Order: sequence, then structure tokens, then C-alpha cells
Amino acid sequence: MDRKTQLMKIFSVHIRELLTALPMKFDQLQEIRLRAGRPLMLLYDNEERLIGNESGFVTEMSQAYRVSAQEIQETMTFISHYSIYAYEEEIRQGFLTIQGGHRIGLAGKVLSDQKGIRSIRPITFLNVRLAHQVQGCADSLMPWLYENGRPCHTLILSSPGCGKTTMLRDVIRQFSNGCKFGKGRRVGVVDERSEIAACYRGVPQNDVGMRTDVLDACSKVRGMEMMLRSMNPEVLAVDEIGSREDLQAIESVINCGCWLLATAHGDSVEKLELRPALQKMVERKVFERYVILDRRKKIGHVEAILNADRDYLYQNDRCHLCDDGMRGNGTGCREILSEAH
Amino acid sequence: MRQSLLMLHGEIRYTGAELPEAISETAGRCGKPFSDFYETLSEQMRQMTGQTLKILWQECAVQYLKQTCLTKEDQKIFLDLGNQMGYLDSQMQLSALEGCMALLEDRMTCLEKSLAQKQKLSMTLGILSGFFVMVLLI
Repeated sequence: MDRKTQLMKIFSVHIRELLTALPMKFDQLQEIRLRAGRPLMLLYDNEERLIGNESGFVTEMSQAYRVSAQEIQETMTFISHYSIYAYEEEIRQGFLTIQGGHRIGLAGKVLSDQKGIRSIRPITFLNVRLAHQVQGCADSLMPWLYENGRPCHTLILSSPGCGKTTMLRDVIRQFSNGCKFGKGRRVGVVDERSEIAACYRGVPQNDVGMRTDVLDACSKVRGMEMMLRSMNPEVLAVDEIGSREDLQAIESVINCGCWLLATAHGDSVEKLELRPALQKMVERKVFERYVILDRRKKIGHVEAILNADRDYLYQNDRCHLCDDGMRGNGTGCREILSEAH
Repeated sequence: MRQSLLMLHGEIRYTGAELPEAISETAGRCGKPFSDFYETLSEQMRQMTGQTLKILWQECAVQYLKQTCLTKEDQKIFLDLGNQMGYLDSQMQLSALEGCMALLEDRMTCLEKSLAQKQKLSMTLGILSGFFVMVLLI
């Protein structure tokens, strides 16, 4: 079954028909939003689109198809394979991951008790975020992440929506499978929010490499400990670090001889220093590479690469090493960069 | 039937699996025709054709339960279960299964009692028939 057909089956029957009949390229579909009593909306090719009552795109709200609360309930029934009870924990967290790696955000009336959030019932808002893995997006970045044939401790930074997680995923894949800059490594991924590997019943729906082990829906701190203890990783990857507890866990990782690959919010190293835990990591030179992404030219554009001393190695599409000539590792910088560029 | 429901109860309680998976596991552990019922139902649920679980359960039950000796009352107990499964939390699933098994238990107790009574009646009739034949011969 192709990806589109597999995805369409989660929707209630009429919505399924409307979406299937749309003239669109599935690869450019980013989000499908269902809101009770509101128009059915898509985020397609970075643009918001409305769907008409007879299918096809429309521009006027008055012509748009309105989703009923009943259709959202039916959609939830199909998403959960008639087993909403099996997703109690995911509903409490406000999202679930389905086959194909797509992530579904949930909202509605929250039921709470003394222990916290018990459930969301009824669920009246759904945001289906489609998973589109971009294999090869890290190709030009990989030469910078190796030093003498071994991976560097790397932190990928950006503002939200700039492709940090997509880039992280491809770096993990390339570290795991190996590339011309280094052999394949055992990678451990602590996927707290199921965004990196997008596991469905424990099986990654995204390609994260042949030597990668994943702890899905596990807290970062606990997950890093567990990985170190049981899976013997050479590289450990986590998403969105920033707390004091993360810092302690990261220090254990590095002290065990693992290479660390992580992401954090921020569009510069200076901005990182505004957060106490990250400031300490910068001061202690925990990371050997800082990769800053933006969306100036496209999502996932590499704006700059810095080393542990915060010297720019690459910025504004210009390599700073070219001016310096040969790199200390004996490999001609120009050889690597001409391929990367 | 009761055995298969007990297995399904165990699957949901222990693994918390989705219904199609729990039902498929149960199918592998019980005999025909219930294994066929559960296997087909599991497959239909995975297809996600747009039907409610109640209708899928009913269609499969009608197809396979006619091969059993179950009375209409017994079949109704089983059919009603399809209306309750998939609703609310895991405790609700277990309660629905326990409720159905309790009803089946009651049915079995009633049948056993009436069986004992019928056995007594048959024996009495047999003895009386014997006396009648003796009287005729005399």
C-alpha cells in the first residue's frame, strides 16, 4: 500500500474521499488540520489551503468544507484502529505517532485529576503532521562533523521550523551507515517525542541507519543512562537539550567515550549562553561543532559552522578554511569543500 | 466461546494491545469456528473500510456463528459485545468482556440445571414406559 493510501485510511469516510480527490503532490503536503465546526485546512507547499464541499481547493471560507465533531471522532476511531483505550498515554501527552511516522497533535477538553491530565475528551482538534524524511540533506554538512576520521561532538542550533530535527535525522543515518568521511558507527537515539525515528510499535518509520538503536518516548536523561548501560553506543543522539539534568547526563555520555549529537533552540551560540545549563556546556567546550541552521534560502539551510572555540569554519556560504589552505589532518580542505559545495 | 473471551481479556489486560492485534492473537489460540471469526474480524479492522466496529463484529459473527450450536440467545450475548468493545479506556474493555463472560456463565448454569431436570424426566419416563409395557404383557 503506498504512503498516501495508507494515510488517507485514518480519516472518516467523507473526508477521506475529499482528500483523495485533491489534485496535489503528496510530497508537498505538510499538514492536515481538522477542527470541529471549522473549515478543513491543509498546509501544502508552505501555503494554507481550503478544501471545498465538492473537493478541490477553494479560496473563500464560505465555500470550504466544514468538519463535524462526529467526523473527528470517527477519524480518532480509525487512527487508533478502533482501540482508543490503547493510546491513553499518548492522548495524555497530546500527540501520537502512526504508521508512516506521521505525528498527530490532539486538542479538545482536557480531563484532569489530582495526578494531572487524565485524558482529552472529547478530542475536537486534530493536526496531522506528515513525515517527510529528507535523505541527503546532511550531505554537505558531513565533512565538517568528522575530525581525523572520528565524529565530533555536535550541536545543531536553529529557531523553530528551520529543519533541526530533519537534519539531525540525516546526520544520524549517515553516522550509522558510514560515509566517505568515516566508517559506520553504532548510534543510540533517545527519541523523547518520537520525532526523530517516528517509531510505530517500536519500529522506526524513518530511516535512521542500519546501526541505530532507538529508545522511543523515553525521557532524555533516563534514556541516555539506559543507552550507555545496555546498548554500547559509539554515538548518542538526542533532540532539544537545555536543562540542568540534560547537562549532567551529557557529561556522563562524554566521560564514557561516546560522541554526542544534539539539537537546541537558538539562532546563535551567544543566544545559547542566555540559558544557564547551555552556557556551562559552551564554557566547558563540550561541543566541538556548532551547526547553525536558518530558513533564509530554504528550510535546513546551513548558515554557519563553528568549532569549540567558537571560531567560524563556515559562514554565509563561504568556507573560512579555504583561505587557510590545508587542514591539519592532511586532507586537502579544497577537496572536501569542492564536493560539499 | 467463553474460553476465547478469556484469552482476549488476557491479551488486553497484559499487553494493552490494539483490538486488531489482540483479536488476531486470540484467533491463533482457539479452535474453529471462533478462530476464523477472530481472524476475519482482525483483518477487516485493519482494512479500515469505514465501517463501525459494531457492524464489522456483526457481519463476522453472522458468517461464522451459524456453524455452531449456539442458540439465538447465546448469539445475542456475543453480538452485544461488539457494541461495547473499543469504547472508552482499557478498564471498560475488560469490564465489557467480564460482563459477557458472566452472562455466558449464567446461561451455562441454567442449561446445566435444565439438563439435570431433563435427565430426571427422561429416566422417569423410561421407567414408566417399562411398567406400561409390563402391564400390557401381563
